[in-house]
Amino acid sequence: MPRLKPGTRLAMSDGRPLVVLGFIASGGQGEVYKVRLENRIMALKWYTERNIIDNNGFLATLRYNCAQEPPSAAFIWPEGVTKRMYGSYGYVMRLRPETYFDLGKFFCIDRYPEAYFRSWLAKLTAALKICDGFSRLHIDGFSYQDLNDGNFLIHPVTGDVLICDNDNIAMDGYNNGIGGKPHYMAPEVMSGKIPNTESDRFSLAIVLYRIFMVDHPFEGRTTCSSRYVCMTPAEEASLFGKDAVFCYDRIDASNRPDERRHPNSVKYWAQLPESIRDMFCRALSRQAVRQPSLRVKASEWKRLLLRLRAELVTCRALAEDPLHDFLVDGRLPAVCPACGEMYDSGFKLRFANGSEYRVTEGKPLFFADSFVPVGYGRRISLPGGGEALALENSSRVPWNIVSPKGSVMCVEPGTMFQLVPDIEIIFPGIRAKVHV
Amino acid sequence: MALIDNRPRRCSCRRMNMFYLIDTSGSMNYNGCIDSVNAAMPEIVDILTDISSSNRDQGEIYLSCITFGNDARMLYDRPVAAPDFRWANVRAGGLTNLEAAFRMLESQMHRSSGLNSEDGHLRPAVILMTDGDPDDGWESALEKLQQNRWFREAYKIAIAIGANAGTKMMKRALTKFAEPLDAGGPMTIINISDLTRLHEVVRFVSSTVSRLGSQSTGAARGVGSVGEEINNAVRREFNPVDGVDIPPISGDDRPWW
Ligand SMILES: [Zn+2]
Repeated sequence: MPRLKPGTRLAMSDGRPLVVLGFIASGGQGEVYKVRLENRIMALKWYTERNIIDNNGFLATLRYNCAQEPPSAAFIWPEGVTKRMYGSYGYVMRLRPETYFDLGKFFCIDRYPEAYFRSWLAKLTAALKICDGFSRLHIDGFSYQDLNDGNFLIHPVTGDVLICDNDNIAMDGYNNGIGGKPHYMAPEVMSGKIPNTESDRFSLAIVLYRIFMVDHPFEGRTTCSSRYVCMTPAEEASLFGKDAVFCYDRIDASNRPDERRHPNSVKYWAQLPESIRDMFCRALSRQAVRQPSLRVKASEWKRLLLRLRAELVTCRALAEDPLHDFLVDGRLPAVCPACGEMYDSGFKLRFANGSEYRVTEGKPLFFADSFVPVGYGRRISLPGGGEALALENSSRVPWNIVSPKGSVMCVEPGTMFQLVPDIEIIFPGIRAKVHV
Repeated sequence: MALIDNRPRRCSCRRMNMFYLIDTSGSMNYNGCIDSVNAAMPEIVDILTDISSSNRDQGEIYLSCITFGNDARMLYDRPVAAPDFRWANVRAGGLTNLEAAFRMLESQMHRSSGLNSEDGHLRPAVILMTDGDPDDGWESALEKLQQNRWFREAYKIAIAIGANAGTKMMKRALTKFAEPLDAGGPMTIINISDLTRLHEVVRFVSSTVSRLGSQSTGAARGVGSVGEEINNAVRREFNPVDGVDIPPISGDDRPWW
C-alpha cells in the first residue's frame, strides 16, 4: 500500500512545491512515485526504511550529492531533497525510461522475455558504460557502496546504461549505513568493514560477469549440490563471500558450472576470447576474493573491453541470416561461432596512434572510448556485379580519403566509400590506413 | 544453419517458501478478525510479488496458505509462485484445529511434496496467525513437526490476534511453535491487541522476512539473526503506536507472559 496518495503536496527543501501524481514501484528502502515539480514530471524516491529516515548522516550525504555534478550522463542523479513531511523524506530525479530493464530482469527471461542482450556489442557497450561510470566515480573520490543488479537500467538492444539509486554513493572511506546485497557484496563488507572502492571492484567483477554470462560466477556444482538444498544465510555468506570459488577458477575446478543448472555460463564462456576469460579468472580468483588490493580496477576492464569492441566482428554469412556478431581477440576463428558459416572479416583501420579498429558490415565505428558512432560498415553492390564493404560517414563533418596513388576524394556526411587496402582516411584530428 | 538464437536461459534461483497458517475458527468472526485477514492477504501477495520479481535471482518467493477451523485446508495443493498466487476469501467457523494445520504443514515440508525445487531452497518461513486456544492434540503434532529438518531450519513467526489473546494454553502453543530451533536467534511472537493494525503488521512481517535473504543489509547493523531483525524492525516500526505490544522476549529464561 503506497504511503503517499496521488494529489499529496510536498515541498522541496528550498520550498518549491511538489505534487504526487502516482505510485511507480516499491523497492528495498522506499517507494518511487511520479511527481510534478514546477513544470517537470519527475520521479520521487520516498524512504520507508526506518534506518534511513532516522539517519541524519544519510540525509547529509544525500544533500551533499545533490549539490554535485553527476560523474557522467549515465547517472540518474538525485537533483534535490524534499522537506521532512509525513514522517519521512525523499529526493527527486529524472524518470526512468520504460524501454530499459533492471539488470536483475536479464536473469529471468521466463518472466521478462524482452530482457536479454541482442548482441555482443550491446553487452560490450553495457559493460563499458558501467566501467566508465565507476572509474569516473572512483576518480572523483566516491564509492558506490551498494553495487548490484538493481542499480543498472539497461537497454537490451543498444546496451545503453543508466545508473540509478545514487543515493547510496558516499565519499570513499565513509559509510552511510548501506552495506550491499548478498551475492554482490564483498566478503570484508559482509563481515562488517566499510565499503570502499575496493569492495566496489569485487561487485563490479560480478556485475560484468553477469552481463556477459548471465549466470552467477560463484554458482556451480558445489553451490547446487544436495548439501545446500536448503541454503542458510551462513552458508550463503560463505559460498558467495569469503569462501567463494569462481566457477571457472584456474586452479580449483570444484565449482564448475553444471550444464543443466548453469547453461548460460557454459554456453557463453565457450564463446569468449581468451583475454577476457583471463581477466575474469584474475578478477574472481580466490586471491582477489580475499585480498581487496588484488582486484581488477574499472579502468583495466575498460581498456580490455575497448580492445574487444575494436576487434568485434559482425556476420551475415547468408543473405537470410539476421546480422549477428561475435568477440575475437587477435586470432580470427575459421568460421563464425554463432552460425558456423564462413564470414567476411572486413577491413582494419590502423590509426596513426597505433590503435586498430575492425570494420565489418553493420558495425558502428567509434573513436577511442566514445559511445557516439561516427561511421558504419555497409555492404554495397558493385556496378560490375558482386559486393564490397564500404564505410559510411555518419558524423557531421566531411572526411578525406587518399588513394594509394595519391588522389584525394571528399566523403561528405551521409555518404560512403568502398574500403580498399592501402587507402588512407583523414578524419578530423587523426589519420587511419585501411588494411585487410 | 539459418536462425541464430543466442538468447540466454532463465537463471536457476533458489526458492523462498512462505507458509501461512491462518486460524479460521469461529472466534475469528469477532471484531472482524477474518475480514482483516481477507483484506490483508491480497495486498501481501502483491508486495511479495514485487519483492520476488525485483530480487528473484536471490530467491523466488513461493506461497502456501493453510487455514484451520474444524479441519485444515490448503488454498492450493502445492506452493505457488507469488505472481501466480490468487487469494480466495476465507470464512470463519468451527474449532481451532491447530493439530491438523501442523500435520498438513509437516506433510508439505518434504523434498517429495512442497519443497521440491530442483534449484534448491532458502530457509522457509512459517507465519502462524491465531486468536484463541488450540484444541487438544496440537502438542504431539508440533513434536512431529519439530523433527522435520525443514521446519527446524525455518523462520517461525507467531502472531497472536485480539485483545484477550493470551490464555495460558495459547501462549504455550505459540511459544513452543516459535522456538527458533536450528534457525537460531530469539523467538518472534507478536501480540496484536488493536485489530486495525493486523493488516499492517502481517504485511510488515511478510515483507521483512521475505527480504532477509535478498535485500541490501546494513553493514553497520551487522548480520544479525532473523528473529532479531524482525523483532527490532517490528519494535522500530510499531512501538511508538499504541495497540501493538511486542512482548519482551529474551529467549530462554524469560517466558513472555
Ligand atoms: Zn555468423
